[in-house]
Amino acid sequence: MSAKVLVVDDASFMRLNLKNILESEGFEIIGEGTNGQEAIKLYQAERPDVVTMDITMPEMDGLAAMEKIIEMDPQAKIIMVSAMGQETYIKKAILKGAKNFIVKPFKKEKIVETLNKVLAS
Amino acid sequence: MEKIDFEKFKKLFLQEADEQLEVMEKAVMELEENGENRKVIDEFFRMAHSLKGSAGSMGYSAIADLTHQMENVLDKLRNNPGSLNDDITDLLFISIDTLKHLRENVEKDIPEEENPDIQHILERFQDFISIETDGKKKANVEKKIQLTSQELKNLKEKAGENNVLLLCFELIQQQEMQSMMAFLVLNNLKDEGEIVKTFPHHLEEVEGDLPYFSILICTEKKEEDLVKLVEQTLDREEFKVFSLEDIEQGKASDYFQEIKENFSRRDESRDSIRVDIEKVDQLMKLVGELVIDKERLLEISKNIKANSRENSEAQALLQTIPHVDFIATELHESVMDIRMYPVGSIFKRFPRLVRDISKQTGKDIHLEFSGEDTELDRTILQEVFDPLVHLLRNAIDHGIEAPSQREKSGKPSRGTVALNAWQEENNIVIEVKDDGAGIDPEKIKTRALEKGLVTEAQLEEMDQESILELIMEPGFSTSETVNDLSGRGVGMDVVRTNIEKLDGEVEISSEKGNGTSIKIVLPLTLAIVQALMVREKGNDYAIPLSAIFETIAVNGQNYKEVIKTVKNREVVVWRDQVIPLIRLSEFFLLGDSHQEGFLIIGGVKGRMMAIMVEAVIGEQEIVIKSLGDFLGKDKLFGEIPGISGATIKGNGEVALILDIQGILKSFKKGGEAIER
Amino acid sequence: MGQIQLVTFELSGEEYGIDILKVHEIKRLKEIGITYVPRAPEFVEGVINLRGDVIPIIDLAKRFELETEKNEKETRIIVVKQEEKYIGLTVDRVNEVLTIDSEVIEDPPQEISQINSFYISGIAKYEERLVIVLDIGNILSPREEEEITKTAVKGRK
Repeated sequence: MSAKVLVVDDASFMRLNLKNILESEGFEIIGEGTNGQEAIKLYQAERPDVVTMDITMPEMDGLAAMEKIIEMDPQAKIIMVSAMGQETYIKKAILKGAKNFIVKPFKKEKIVETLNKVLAS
Repeated sequence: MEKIDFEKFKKLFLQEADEQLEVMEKAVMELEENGENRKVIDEFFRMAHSLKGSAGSMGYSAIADLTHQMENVLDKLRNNPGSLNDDITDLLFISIDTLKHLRENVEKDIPEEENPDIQHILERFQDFISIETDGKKKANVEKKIQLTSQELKNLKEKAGENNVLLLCFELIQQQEMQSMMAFLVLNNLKDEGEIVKTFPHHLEEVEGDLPYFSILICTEKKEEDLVKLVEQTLDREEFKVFSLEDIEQGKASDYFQEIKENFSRRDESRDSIRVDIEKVDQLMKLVGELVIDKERLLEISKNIKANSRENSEAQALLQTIPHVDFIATELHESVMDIRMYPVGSIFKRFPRLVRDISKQTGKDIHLEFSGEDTELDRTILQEVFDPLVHLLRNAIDHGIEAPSQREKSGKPSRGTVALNAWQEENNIVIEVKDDGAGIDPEKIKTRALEKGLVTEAQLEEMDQESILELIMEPGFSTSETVNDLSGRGVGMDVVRTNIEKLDGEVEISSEKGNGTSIKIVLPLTLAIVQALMVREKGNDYAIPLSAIFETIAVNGQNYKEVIKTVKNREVVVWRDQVIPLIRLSEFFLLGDSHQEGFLIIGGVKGRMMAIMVEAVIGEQEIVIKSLGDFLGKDKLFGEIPGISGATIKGNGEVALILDIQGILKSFKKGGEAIER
Repeated sequence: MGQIQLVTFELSGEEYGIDILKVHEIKRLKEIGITYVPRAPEFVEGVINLRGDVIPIIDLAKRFELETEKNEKETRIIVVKQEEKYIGLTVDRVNEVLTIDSEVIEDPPQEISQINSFYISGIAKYEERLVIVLDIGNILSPREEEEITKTAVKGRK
């Protein structure tokens, strides 16, 4: 059974990019969120195996959304997607329970590998 | 040797001696801090050896004799591992001090016979060397991995039921934010046992590149379970695990040695040549001239364009000029790059200083670094050394509490002072951070009121940061108040003045009881910046673009909307903010201002103002120059308020550079911009 | 004792001289654009670009607190060099380069000139002329009674 992924990013380019990569590797994209609020709703509804969560987003940022999701489901596997220079956010996310992180711009191999590692844990 | 040649050789000798002494000093620091280390001793030996060689051939016999003895002692140390003790490090320190002194004498051409007597030092070396030949040998493998024997003993005790494991990481795949990967791994391991030690120390605070790090953990878990856990974030080939036994047998340290060598080899493989810094400065000056001429060419080409469509020569010229523009900019960047130096080059002078101050004050200090590779313009770097010394001294002398006091407050008796550097957009930040007593804002308030620097009413309106900043006001602190106020104010006004001279800023944050952080925020480079040229009463002034937010044209139509009068003072309403208006002609006492013109909305650190000028000429690259040897603070003809420097325009004339920070300040201080 | 060469010039009706070794160059006032420096001391005329370096120009008459009427055509700027520092001095007119025996330079008597004796290194009597030899070093350092100007304020007339 292929793993179910929720992709959260405010940039449609980024979502498409992730979707292409992940689908070509046999992952199933069960939803795309464009901000933190949407991410929470989609998580509740779909219960994905893993979430890729952008940090900087309008309305509710990835950090807050991640916290809310972990509150609902302490087992949630969330990978933060960050730009260079967001060390502080990543640190916070890790402390709050994010399983891993990816730095934009990322290579295809890197993201697949990270997802697999997190799913295996 | 002929005279000329001799001078040349001497210069070279001094230059090399400086570097050699620096490496030696660092080596002895490291030996003292971390115990014996073969590589450090080898390096030390090499430096002493080559200094001996060059001193010998120049006829500086005192230096040659002393380095010869150092060489002997280091060689003994190599052959008798474990024989290093405090007496030897002290002797090495004394020798380096003496060498420095001798080196000064060489520079001043003081004849050899007037050198200080070094016989007693040489004798102490003799003592040591002869004792050692008696043959006291101790096996000493454990020190290599930088664990003290006490630590190892504690570990062994703990190890009873638990596993003590050293995880050494070598990140191959993770290209960016390696330090975050380290943070993630460390965070995951935290729940599995006790983290005994990390390398680098304070692993969780490191940012940026971090290809190698290690974690020493004491855990109930089995080794393979721990490996599985780490594998959730890293590949198996990216880390190695060593047991306590491995550590004792030196396997871990061999591994360390190997990766360290790999790493330094990677660094050394680049080809480099050594260039006299004066030549680089000369090159920079020439490039500066070129940039000025380039701006001039661009100006001329504008005129040609309009007048000479028919002239093919002129057209050819017009095609060449953009290329010259491009080349000049590239050249400028390349030369700037040569001028960039890693801040580590000044950081490495601090361990010695810290050691000395700790001894004087009886405080136990651990000094940490991060971001040593961060690069900064050499000129700025030199200027920033003294302020940093000052901040370090303050941190140790007044920030860090006495060991007994620290223990009472539940802190480790050893205080930590960290020197961190990093880049933040177009700025370089250097931070001096301590885990000492912090600054008490209440005491600052009291003191500032006493000294009449502020009024109660002003204090009411100030936020925490502004209150802390009061310690940088001239006259805030005098030496007799040092102790009751942690003495943070001593000389802080000087630090600020020096940093502001470099176009930088000083930021203070502190938490009572938990320490203080002082950040020096500096521009990447000083020499050339983008600026807006404006005109007032026939003179052109340059304003660095970095200080400008917006320009607004003011005319009869919008005048009343934009410019208002509040409490008899003119203000500008800009993006819902009310900011003071300064009319340049009034500030500079050039006569009456005008109703029409341009408002330059600018500011630093969130403090804003609007400057009214007659005309805006345009943006341009400017080469920053000083006002010469006579105009400026502490120079014969004094400081010019509101002017930070000068530049040369396309037509060869001088334009003055406005000092936005200075104008803001004089406005803030006097309440009114103009002191008639 | 040897000979000395003086660049002589006029200032408010008196003749002055500067050791030629201190003189870097002489420029016409008209040929250079002086940039006015607001709020500088009154005797500072402004700054100019001297081959890429910014140097100040001071009005020597104002520095000496002398009355003078300038004829801009004749006005010259003497750029002098003192310990690697350059400064331009405006003078009413440059006369000539005078070669004299160093012996004819006498110590300055008190009250010989309208200007403060601090600025004078000697008096050269040459034929019928009396040339006041200036001490450039002292001109470019603070007078004892005068503190380094911290912030001088002036308005443009």
